[in-house]
Amino acid sequence: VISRFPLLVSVAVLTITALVRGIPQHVLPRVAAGSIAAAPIVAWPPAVAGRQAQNSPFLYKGSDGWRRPFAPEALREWAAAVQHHTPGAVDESLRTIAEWPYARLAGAIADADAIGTIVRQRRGQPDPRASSIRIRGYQAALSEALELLQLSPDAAAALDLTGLFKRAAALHTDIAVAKWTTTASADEWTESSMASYHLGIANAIVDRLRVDGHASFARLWYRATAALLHSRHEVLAQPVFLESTLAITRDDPGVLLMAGALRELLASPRMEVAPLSARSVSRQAHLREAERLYRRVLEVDGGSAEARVRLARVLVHLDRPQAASDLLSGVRVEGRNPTAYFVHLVRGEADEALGRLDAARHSYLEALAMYPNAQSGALAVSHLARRQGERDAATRPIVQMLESARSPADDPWTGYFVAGDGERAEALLAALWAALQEEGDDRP
Amino acid sequence: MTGPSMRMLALLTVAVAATVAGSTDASHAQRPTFSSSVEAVHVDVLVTRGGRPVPGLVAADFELLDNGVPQSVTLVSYDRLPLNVLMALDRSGSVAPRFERVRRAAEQLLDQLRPGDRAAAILFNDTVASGSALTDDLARVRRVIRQANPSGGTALVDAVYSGLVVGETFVGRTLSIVFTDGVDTSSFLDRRKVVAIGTRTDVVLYTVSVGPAAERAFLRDLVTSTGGRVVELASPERLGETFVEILSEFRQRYLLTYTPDGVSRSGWHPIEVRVKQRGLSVQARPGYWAGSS
Repeated sequence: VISRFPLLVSVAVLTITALVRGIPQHVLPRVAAGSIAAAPIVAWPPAVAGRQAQNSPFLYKGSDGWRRPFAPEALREWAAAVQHHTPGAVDESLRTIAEWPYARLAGAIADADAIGTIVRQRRGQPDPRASSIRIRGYQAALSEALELLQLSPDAAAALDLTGLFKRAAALHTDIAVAKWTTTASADEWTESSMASYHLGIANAIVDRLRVDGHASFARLWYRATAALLHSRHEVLAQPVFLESTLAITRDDPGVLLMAGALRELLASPRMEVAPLSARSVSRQAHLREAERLYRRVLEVDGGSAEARVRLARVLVHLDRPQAASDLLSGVRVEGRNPTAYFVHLVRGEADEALGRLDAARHSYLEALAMYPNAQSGALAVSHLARRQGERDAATRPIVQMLESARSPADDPWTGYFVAGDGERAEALLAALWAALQEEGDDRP
Repeated sequence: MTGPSMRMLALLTVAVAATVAGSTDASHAQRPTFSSSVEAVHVDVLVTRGGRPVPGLVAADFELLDNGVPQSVTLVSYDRLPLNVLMALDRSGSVAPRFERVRRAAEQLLDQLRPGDRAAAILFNDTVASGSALTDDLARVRRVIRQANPSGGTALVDAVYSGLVVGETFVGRTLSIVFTDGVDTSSFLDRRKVVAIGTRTDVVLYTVSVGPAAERAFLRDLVTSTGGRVVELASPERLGETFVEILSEFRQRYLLTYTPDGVSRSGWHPIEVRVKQRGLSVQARPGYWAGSS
């Protein structure tokens, strides 16, 4: 369960950690809810008063008084890592920040966020957290803050934190990816939790950038990150995150296909043993939503064979096999590829449901001929034969399957629940970081 | 021929002959082809008192109702019949910490097999594979088990189905032991379809897990349909002992055989098995399907 739903676990762990350590819960990234943008980030060092307060360039407002910045030295180190990190690379900066404990990281991020608010105030931009920060004097506070962030002279002069925050989003996204792709170890659980936390930080930064007018960057980031979550079957975080991504990308077919495939996954039998929160919507409701999403893809791109075959499968599972059969009747199968394989397989399922067993067997055999080592094809052929009481015909493909040397990659079914953009998550991330690099280097 | 329309009279003849003669040759017979219009049904029955198998019962001790209609049964004890033993072992990544114990348990079970018994190991993660079909070359089966390394996801439902199909490939009684402790993450087949096949097979299926089985509902439905049992262990220490106990229990089951009389020939046949002595528990499949679906 932990490996399947690390985002949920992450949030749970961070929440428990927060309660134990007395950290205000609202500072935690709300990745699982997909709405981190609204989460105010404040700090939690001890309240201060008198001379100490006067010596601090700026103070946060906490529930029990005003507090100093959490960790200026941590912020300085964080900013240096952000400035030196190459997006998409596993470099020294990434390794340094990836090793940080939660408290140090949270403090630096809280301080960076506060500086962002100060800058916004200075630039005359509205900020909902403005009243939570008291500044000793704008100029002194800004000078000290910008020095901590190690901005280039031009960026500092223009009070432009955009480049810094974009690179910060890249750094924390890259850390999440690096932690997720780390091979299984005794620390997998912790690593996965921290990966989710880093992704939450990136999400918060990107949403701030989006509000500040960098919608294009936000769109690319959401699309790539949604693809990343999708390719990892993050079933708890995905639904809300994909909703946000769909809204931002305006019904991009690649995102719609991911959203549909997720609904198919949530409706699949394997989710019967998933945590209750993943099953709060009925199987039928998930299937109907998948149908809506795939029909939307076909409205946008009527030639999408992938959307057509996925929609047909959904219709079979909604007990509308004739509609599925009709939908596939016009689909021409060309070449050897997963979509062509599923056309045969789903056509077989529709025929089987309609009682056209010979036609179903023919379709299953066509699928198996296309991918002879596909476990799903062998099972489909065998099960239909066994249903009909033909033991020998049921046994042959299974024996052949058991005795052949295969890998999951031989079977298109293995990747069925990853669709659309999910199949190119890494490429999308790479394109995002390349676009970031092309924007120019404003580092000091 | 369909599954639990069963193996008909020819199997009974072969089984009885083997028992009487004390021979193991019966297991080497080719699968018989039946042309007779008279079909025999056999029902695998476990009788226990206080959880322990009860030996020494005779046909007259049993009552069997097919569709509520009493049937005339004959009885064969398995004790001297060669067995087909099929182990479906979860080798997904989640099993890694205890896979060595699973491996040893499987080998302990192989140690208990007798000349003429056959075995096979189906190892599954995302893929379902076996190094050999059912074979009496047990050294080969050991090699398959020793070479397996845990990794990847879990295609439990597909593995169970494959085991049921392979278990039918030879004449003789087949015990299938499924070890798993994970959630199915990658199967193609639907659970309900596989449970339905369970009602059409003669394979008796036991499942073993450490802790509560993640797929408890599926496994319970499955063992109920085949007349087997779900075993949930508190810790992996007793895995080997448990595998051997299951084999021993299976050897002490009874085979009731009858030719359906006074009931329709196709469709679902609910059956009820009773023992006349008091204080005994009876475990048997709840029914069987006749004819194709």
